Amino acid sequence: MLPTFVIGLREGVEASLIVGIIAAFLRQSGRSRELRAMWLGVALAVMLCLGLAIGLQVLDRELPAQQQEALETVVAAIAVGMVTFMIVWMRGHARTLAADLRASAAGALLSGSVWALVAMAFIAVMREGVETAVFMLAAFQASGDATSAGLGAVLGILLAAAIGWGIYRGGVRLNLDRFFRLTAVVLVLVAAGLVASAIHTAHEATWFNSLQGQAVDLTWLVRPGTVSSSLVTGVLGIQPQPTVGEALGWLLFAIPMLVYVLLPRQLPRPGVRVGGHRRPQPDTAR
Amino acid sequence: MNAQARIVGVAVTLVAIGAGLTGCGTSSGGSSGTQQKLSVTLTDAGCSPSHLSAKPGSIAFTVTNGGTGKVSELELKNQQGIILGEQENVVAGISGGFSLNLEPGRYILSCPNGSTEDNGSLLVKGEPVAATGGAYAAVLSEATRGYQTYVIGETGKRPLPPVDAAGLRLLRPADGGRPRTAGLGGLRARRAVVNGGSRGEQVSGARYESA
Repeated sequence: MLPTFVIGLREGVEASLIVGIIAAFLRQSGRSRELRAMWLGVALAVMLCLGLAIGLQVLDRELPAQQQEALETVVAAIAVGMVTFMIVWMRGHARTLAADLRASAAGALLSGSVWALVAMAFIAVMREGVETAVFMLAAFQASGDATSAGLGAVLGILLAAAIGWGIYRGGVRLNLDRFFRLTAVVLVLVAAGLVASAIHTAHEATWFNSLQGQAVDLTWLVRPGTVSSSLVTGVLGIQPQPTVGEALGWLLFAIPMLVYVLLPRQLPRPGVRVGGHRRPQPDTAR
Repeated sequence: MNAQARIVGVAVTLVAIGAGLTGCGTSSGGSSGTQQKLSVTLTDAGCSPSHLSAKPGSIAFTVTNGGTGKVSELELKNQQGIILGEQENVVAGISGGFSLNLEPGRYILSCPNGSTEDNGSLLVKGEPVAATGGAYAAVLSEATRGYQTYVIGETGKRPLPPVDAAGLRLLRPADGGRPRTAGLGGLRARRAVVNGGSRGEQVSGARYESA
């Protein structure tokens, strides 16, 4: 039961993480209409994935692995763009974030992007969904204890959905003005994970074949086959043995973005008011 | 456009993509007769056996889990490291596989996270399989042969022109015009037969000669 639980959890979290972030963002922006549409889209995507998995089984066809990995790469790349957009927009409104999210001016800025977010939630479920549904069906037909295996997969997916729901509820109650930096750092780590994940699936889709040597052995952190590994890989996109390409992608994205997020908006300069204290001018005669 | 319409629009697009995916999916059952079968078991060490050999042509790989929680994936790569086929998420009780058409050469069998046997090899030795267009050529020449039998039966005992390398009749008009294939000529012959049968030997004013 544990192996199928681990896989169900990992694949599920990769989808529910994005959905939770988008749901929290939409709710904080007061976009309840689009939020309802998003939930509808997610439910539709889940049913579509199940239908496709059953269809593949009925027609006795294998899931085309390369095309599946190609889809995952494209969706992950779009998700990186979406989360980066969120981070940049949030930083631009850091001090008045919560108010700005609800303000009509900010709403107008985002209105075109809001439907893109709804579509993103749908696609995020499709990205992992078909593969996960195929795996779940296979689990229910496993040799040995099929019920236990299938149940493990279902429980893993349910826990992933619960985590996504937790991100949504927690994100809704989050005081973005006060916890902006923390939220932004977490989003940077999620986006960096998506970059590494996109590079990983790009190799599996045969699009990216350089820099494939092992960069570092992270099996102490991501112990394959454990529940903790499914959370680390699902949320932070870290593989047990990342390749040079994946590690470079993660670092090249995370480090500049972390600097961008953590640096104060205005560096203190002589003569500039910062927080109400005027700094002495170096050449002022006293 | 309201919310529901947008959602339905996106869903329809993705159903189309999904249908394409299903259509693109390779058939896992019912392959042509001479498909070799290779079986790999995943263990904590990695791939077991880690060195395989096969003949060129169609090979079906079956991957099963031999009780390991660490290794759950098999990848077949060529010497450049490009993944040709893979099966993921192979855990206890769940087996999977994929099929490939392989040319002679050396390939890499990769079982990620294995301790010692995570990179094995597959050696494909023998005569390369000639490209005959695969299953379609066989089906096509079978169908053409059957249709020729029908045409002979319908139009009397007129001998038919010779067959070319692809199993298709080459029809050369008597006036030295462009050769046509039996598919088109055959259809016109059928229509001539339906229209009265007297023009079965002559189609569109062209006369066909036998070799």
